[in-house]
Amino acid sequence: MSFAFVLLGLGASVGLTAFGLVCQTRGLKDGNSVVVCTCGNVSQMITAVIFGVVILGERLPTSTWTALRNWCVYTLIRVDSHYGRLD
Amino acid sequence: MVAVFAVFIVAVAASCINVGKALQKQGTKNLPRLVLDPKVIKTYLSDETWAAGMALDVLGGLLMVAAIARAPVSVVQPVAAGGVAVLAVYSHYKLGETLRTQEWVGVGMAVCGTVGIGFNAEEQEPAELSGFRYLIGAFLVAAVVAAPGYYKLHATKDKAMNRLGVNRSGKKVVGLVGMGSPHHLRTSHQVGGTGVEGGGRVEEVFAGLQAGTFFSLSALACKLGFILGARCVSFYFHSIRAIRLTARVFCHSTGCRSRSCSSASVHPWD
Repeated sequence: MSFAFVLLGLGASVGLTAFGLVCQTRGLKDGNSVVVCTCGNVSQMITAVIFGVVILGERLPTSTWTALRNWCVYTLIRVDSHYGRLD
Repeated sequence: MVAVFAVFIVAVAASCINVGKALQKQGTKNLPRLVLDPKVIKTYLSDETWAAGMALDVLGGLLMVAAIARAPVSVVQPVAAGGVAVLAVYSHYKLGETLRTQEWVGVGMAVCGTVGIGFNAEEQEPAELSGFRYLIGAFLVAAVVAAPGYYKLHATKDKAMNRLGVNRSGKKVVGLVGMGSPHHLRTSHQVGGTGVEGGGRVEEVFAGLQAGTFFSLSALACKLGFILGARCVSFYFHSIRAIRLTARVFCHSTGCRSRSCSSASVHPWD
């Protein structure tokens, strides 16, 4: 039963990744790779944090200093993505 | 320590995935537009550059699954998103797309961000998954999947209206950008890309957003499978323990009863 859950999760994961790859390949074929990858990465990062916190109950850092550091690193990656997008 | 190791694995996986994407981009230059047709898919698979890119992408995906099993999704995915820096460096050295100073600054920031996430990563026990959480999750997933479609619909509608010189309410707008001049000739406001490929900025953004959302959902499905699997194993062991305990109590009480009965039947006169 537990093996079935793991298999189901992996199967769904493979299917969803395939959908993602189809969307990405269409984007790469039609347009600029930097724009496609940047938008993909930003949406991947934001939705993953939302899914992790809301659905899986993962907790963000509770202490102020660690939370501040975490938001700083998220911002660093997002700003880097926007650098790419501006071009 | 396990979480830090997982962050390192994700960094390697993200590098594989992004270099794979660059190779795929290189490969698609000589290939037709991807549709779900066996002939087109066969053409894609027979192209060496595209196939190598896809193989790297799959390898990165497998490494990502290994990391997701050990670290929280909210830590793994931001590190994976930082892999765009690897793509930029690879494009600079291998594809001849020269990076400017501000782009190198961006790459440095992404590397700092990734190292920072690794520094902040901590072990977490999986939280209790309730029915309410699943319900909220289902709504959230539906909203996130529908959002790029909604964005694309409005962006396309707005651009079509701009071309006609009207706003959303249908009123004529004076002084609109592009009015009075051949709009399709303005490179800064092209809506149809080069016109040859049939794409455009909206299509690119839409494709990117949708791809990122699906990758995120894929990680979520994988993590949910692992969590439910672990819960099931734990439930199985608890059930076995409960059954053994019940059986022991039952046997003990039955044994006591039969012993008292047998002693009563063997020596009824005692």
